[in-house]
Amino acid sequence: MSNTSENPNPSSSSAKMTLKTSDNELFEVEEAVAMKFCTVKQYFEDEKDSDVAARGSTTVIPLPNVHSAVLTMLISYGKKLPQSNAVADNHEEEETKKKERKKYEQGLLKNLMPGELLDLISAANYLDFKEGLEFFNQALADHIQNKSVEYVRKFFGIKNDYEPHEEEKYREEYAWAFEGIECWLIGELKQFMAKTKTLDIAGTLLGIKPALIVASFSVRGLNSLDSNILKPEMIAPGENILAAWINAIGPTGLDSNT
Amino acid sequence: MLISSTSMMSHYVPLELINRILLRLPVKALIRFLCVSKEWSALINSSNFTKNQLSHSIETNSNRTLILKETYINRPLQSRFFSVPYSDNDQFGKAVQIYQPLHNWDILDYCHGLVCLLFYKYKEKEDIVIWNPLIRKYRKLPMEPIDEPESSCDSFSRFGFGYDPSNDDYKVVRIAEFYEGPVLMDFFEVKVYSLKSQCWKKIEKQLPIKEIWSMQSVSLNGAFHWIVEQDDRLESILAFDLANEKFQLFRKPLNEGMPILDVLGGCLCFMGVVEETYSDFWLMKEYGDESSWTRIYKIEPGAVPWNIDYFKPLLFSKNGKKVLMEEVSLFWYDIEKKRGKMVKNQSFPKRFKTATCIGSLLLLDGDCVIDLTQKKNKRKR
Repeated sequence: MSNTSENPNPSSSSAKMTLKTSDNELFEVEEAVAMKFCTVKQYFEDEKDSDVAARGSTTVIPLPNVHSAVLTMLISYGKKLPQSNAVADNHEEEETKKKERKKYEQGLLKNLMPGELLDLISAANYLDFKEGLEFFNQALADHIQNKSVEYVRKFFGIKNDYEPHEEEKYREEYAWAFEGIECWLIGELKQFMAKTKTLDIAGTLLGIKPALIVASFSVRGLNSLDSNILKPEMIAPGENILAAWINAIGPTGLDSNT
Repeated sequence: MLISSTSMMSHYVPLELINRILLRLPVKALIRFLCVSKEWSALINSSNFTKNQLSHSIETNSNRTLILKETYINRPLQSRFFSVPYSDNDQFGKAVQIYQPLHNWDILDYCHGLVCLLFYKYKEKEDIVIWNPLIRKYRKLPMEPIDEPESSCDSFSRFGFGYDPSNDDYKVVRIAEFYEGPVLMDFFEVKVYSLKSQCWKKIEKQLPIKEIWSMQSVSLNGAFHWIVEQDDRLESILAFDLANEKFQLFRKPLNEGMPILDVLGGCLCFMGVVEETYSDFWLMKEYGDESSWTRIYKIEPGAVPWNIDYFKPLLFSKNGKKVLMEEVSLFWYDIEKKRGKMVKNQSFPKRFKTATCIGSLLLLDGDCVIDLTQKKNKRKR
């Protein structure tokens, strides 16, 4: 690690602050990171003014609105941000750092459930953590931008106070804005399925009587992408399966099905 | 993964937090979410939100789209409009056809996500429409008569569209010049339409010039600009400030070539064009300061594999090293390498004119553009 990225005053860069969460967990955080939480910064500065003898290391700053799990994530995000007291890197180093940060951010979002985003935003708002707010707000906006109205209501816990005919009027007038939006059920399913599942080969069962027959209407033949695979790739028993769909979009896209 | 189930979802989210999330959404989503609840509808419809959303888009350079108008020499009445999303890293998405309000128009000018369309034939009354293509709303301007000095006069109008920051208003200007037979009279009529007040107003001041050369004005910093000829045959740039309704004259940076004005990178751009020879681009880096005219590049033979002519500059690339320009289709001109390269995109029409657009909720209270294909497919109730 090069010397230039170290603060010329080593004692202040390694100064730590203690934060206490709503579930009574204590976090020791570097001052540089904790200062990004403006609420903490304000508290710290107020403490300084009120003439407290020992700084930072013995004062415990209470955060009654923030859960430890949320704080962990916000601190880890805060650490990845460019430090305000660091000496400016040359252009190449800056680009590399930017790419690293982007990769970290993508990884972070991949593992987050959308509901957790709301908690992070709430906490970042309470802590007045500007960079965190910016990032998580954008992440949540990206998540809901192609979602249906029903999904958004459920997500934010909003009650629909429109009369059916009022809502219908909006949907007709702005029909184009409702095109290509995934049904909220599918959204929920996708979220549920996002948890990794692995299929293991259980084995081949022999001697089952009567032998199961593939229905006459099921597709057979070569898989269009890989002709080594024969259709049907995966089957389960059952014929007259009842499936649900929302009124606006029928299963076949034909007018007769809506 | 981490957070206990007691902290999940259904707790009430304060509107202030929701506001900040909504600001970051594309306009299609915002329109859809109008019917989430009455509170959301009131928020999204509010003029404050429109303003903030537009500022946020401009600051973060997001929600950008190009509007293309097909120029089809054979069938002008059937030329189509398309919208093309344009991302932060200078990539173009797929062109999607969109429907213009009412009938066939030319693009007059554009600003902040509003496109002003004009239908004008000499000696006929013009039709002007201000359109927000991304939310499919428009407002047609009311007819405004031209006060001709004498009934024997013919008039010819030139138009402009732009933003007036001191009044937070969008304005259309019409300057009518008059002919007695072939002779140009020394009298102009200037009228301005305000989108806020939805009416025309006459400007009583007279233009300090002999003749206007530009076909349409270029708007920047709350002022309209034209290339004009003054009484002593001197060609200059005339600026008309919308807020204080004053005229000002600027010196051109060049005297050679056909003079053309445009806006590039937020600055007034002057081009001197000599067909098949060169196209010289200058920017007025400090608005109002004539000494700040700076040449940014000059396109010369060999730089582009087609005839050098007037190419409209549209915008800078993210790193500022290239300029997107329009020549029948689009091309990027690399300033350092002095080379132009066509933008290849299968979904673009062959020949078109371009407007740049930012997703905004301006004109949300306007009239809806009827999508003709949707109208056909609509079920009878």
